[in-house]
Amino acid sequence: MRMLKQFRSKIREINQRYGKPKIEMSKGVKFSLAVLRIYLFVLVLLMIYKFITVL
Amino acid sequence: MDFFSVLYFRFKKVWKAVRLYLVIAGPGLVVMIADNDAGGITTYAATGAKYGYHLIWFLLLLIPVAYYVQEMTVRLGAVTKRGHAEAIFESFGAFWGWFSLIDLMFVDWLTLVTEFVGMTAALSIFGIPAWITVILVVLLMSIIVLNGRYWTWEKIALGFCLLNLIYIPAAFMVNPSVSSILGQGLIPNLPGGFNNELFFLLMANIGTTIAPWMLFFQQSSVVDKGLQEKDINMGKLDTLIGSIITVVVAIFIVIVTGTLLNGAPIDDAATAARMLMKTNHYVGAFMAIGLFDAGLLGAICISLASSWAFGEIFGWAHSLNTKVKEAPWFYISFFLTLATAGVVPLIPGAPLVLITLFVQVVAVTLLPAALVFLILLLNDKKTMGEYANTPLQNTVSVIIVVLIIVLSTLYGVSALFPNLFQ
Amino acid sequence: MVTILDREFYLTEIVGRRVYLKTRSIGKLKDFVIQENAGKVPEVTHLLVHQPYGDPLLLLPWDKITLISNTEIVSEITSTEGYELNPLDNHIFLKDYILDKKILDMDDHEIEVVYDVKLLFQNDRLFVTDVDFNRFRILRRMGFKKLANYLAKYKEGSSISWLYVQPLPETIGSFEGNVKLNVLKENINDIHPVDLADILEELDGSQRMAVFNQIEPELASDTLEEVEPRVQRELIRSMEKERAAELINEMSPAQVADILSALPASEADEIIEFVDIENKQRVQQMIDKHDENIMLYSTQQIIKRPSETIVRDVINNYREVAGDMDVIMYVYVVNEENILQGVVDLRELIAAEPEQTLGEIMTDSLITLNPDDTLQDSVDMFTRYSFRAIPITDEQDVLLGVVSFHDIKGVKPRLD
Repeated sequence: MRMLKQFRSKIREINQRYGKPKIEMSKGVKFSLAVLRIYLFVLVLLMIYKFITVL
Repeated sequence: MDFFSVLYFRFKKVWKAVRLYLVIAGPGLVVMIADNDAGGITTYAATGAKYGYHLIWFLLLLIPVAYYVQEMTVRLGAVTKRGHAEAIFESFGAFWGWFSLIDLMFVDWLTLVTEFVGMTAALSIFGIPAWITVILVVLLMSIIVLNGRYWTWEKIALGFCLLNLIYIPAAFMVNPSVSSILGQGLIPNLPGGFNNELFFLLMANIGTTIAPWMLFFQQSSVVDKGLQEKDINMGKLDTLIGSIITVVVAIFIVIVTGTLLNGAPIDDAATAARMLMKTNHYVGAFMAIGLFDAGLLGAICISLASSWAFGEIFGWAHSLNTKVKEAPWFYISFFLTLATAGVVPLIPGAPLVLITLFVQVVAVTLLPAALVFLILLLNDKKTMGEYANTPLQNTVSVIIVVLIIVLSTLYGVSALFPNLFQ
Repeated sequence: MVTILDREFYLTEIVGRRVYLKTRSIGKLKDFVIQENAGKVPEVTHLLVHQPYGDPLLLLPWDKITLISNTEIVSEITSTEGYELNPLDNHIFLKDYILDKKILDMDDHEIEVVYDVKLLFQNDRLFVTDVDFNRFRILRRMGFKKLANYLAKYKEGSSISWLYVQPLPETIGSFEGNVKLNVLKENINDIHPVDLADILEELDGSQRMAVFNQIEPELASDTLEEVEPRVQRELIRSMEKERAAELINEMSPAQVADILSALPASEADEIIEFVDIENKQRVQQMIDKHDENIMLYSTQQIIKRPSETIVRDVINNYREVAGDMDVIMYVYVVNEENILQGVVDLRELIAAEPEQTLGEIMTDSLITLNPDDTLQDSVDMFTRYSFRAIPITDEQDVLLGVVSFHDIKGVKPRLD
């Protein structure tokens, strides 16, 4: 239990430490990240679809 | 200055550069040669068996692909003195950080399983039972890492890299026809026209050349080795030489299987080794030793890549140079990843083929993200300063990255839906 | 405090020597870190030690070193902690940055390569004194030390004092930057004693000694005459006595006396013991009795010839004859009774027809000194006539000796 608590506080600390992206959010960066999100979203959808059809 | 002095001066300068290179060499060589892991050997063996020498030209194209991607990690590591995971967390925030980290852990673990599969298969050719192989490997790797110095670790890893060159004498032993290698291999051609099967194999070759763990691994090892900005050129050279060696080794594997097993259906390298045993005992043995070595080298690097990444984020002392007591979590995570992955091939009826496919699919979720992050990070003038990407470097690396993303996505999707491209 | 066996050595001899912390061997000497002192010779501040098995490089401060012997270097520290080299610090590494670099002259002409660097231990400090570009040093570096030393003797003028090295460029590094001198290629082998003296006066005590010890005796002796008395005194005091003797004997008695008079009596007595027997008495007299009779400052080493000698004969063996003489720019014409009849200037001699006799070309209206005259009289006369030497004659014109301007230059008369 204590370990789990420690672990959670550790995660929280990491989330706080890296809360704000340091890189300058220029148009290029924003665009790339957006495309990446869409790409991953589609990929996950495909995997879920495959998972359902296999079952 | 007369002729003698000029000669002396030049010689000394070159000699000094060579010695400096020998000091700095390591991360690039190791990461590139470890890239020829069990999965890689299988892919190359299959390529040779299926198409003979015809795809050697394509392998040569992989030199710049591997170099331009990995070279960026050298610059990033030497300038920021941070591993890739930490760089992603810091620059893109916790969301992308966790995504990369967990994904990396997952891919690495799966890849590690394939390395163990390769290693146990390789040694089973010599009659060694799988469980002995697994225990031996886990022990050996723990000893190497527990030794507690980056320096010794690197030298041992370089020793295994040297063993990876075993395919070169093997290729000479099968007496291939040099003229047909040059005639068939060096002229770009698509044997049998462009079809689904060929496309799948080309994608597999690219997929083994750039793996997500390589980015994380090389950047962390550059940091652990303590390379500085002034060492960047040597580090790049190291990467270039490594990428040439890795492709040369791949070509020699293709030559071996292309000469002896041309036309045979090969699913994995162990089968190839077994079949080679029948035609030429020594070449078969070399193939098996090479496969074991490739799996071991891959396992060492991949498990380290995860441990380094986790250490960076959780703030555990995350260097090979720290003692076990100072960095218990670093070593525990290393050992856990290793042991759990080692157990999988021992499970009777484990879905090993499914796992291999799964690696490709999950890798496709991580690789594009990691590559995009890499290019964005290298364009961050604020931290990279004069070492940021030049327009030329950007053009080259963007083209390469887009190519890798498209091909590896198709590869992953075709692994999900095998009938899609039929 | 450092105990050191060889006071001077070459960089390539010492690099690679085993380094101990007290008694524990930790690695090998890899390099020296030097610090430039504006316009002076650089000083070693740290030793860079290479540890095996990828342990970090250590930077040991010079003042933590206790012993440098022919086989080992010992430091007094016990733990390496805190002495690791920070790769970000800006240090000048002697071997890495200087050795095997090009030597350029003032006009950027490439002269040679830095084959070695000479270091000198002085007053507990280690200085970089010379850049060696003698090619035979390569042999030394390959392990043929004796052969290298033997051959090096036959190639003179192949090292240069660090004083002539310009401040190192900002960009100097493992591969970039050259060692640039502030002399021209042509002048590298004859640096004037007056210039050297000026530089010496600028240096502090141990630096000065480090540089001065590297100068060849003849040049050193000339330089010693040129420096101001305060510096003279300091140099002679800290010099080894043998070297002092060597330098003293290169000088004229007048100059010896002048220098010795700047020293306390006890030290002067010590040094005077080294002076040649024939000059010793004169020097003694000059110092002890404050005797400034001109005869003490004169020399007999002059070229004397009868008036019927043919010019060609004089010129033909001039070189041999002049070799032993103190005064060589005049030929003194005398008869059998050693009565001075005239003087022939070297220039007149060369301009004359070979068949002429000395009697035909000599100058016979002479400016001379009397044996009773003092140093002051001669100084006055030299100022007035700007001769380079003045003969001393008695009432019968018998030639007693010659005072050379070179011998009394810089010597200040105390009596009027």
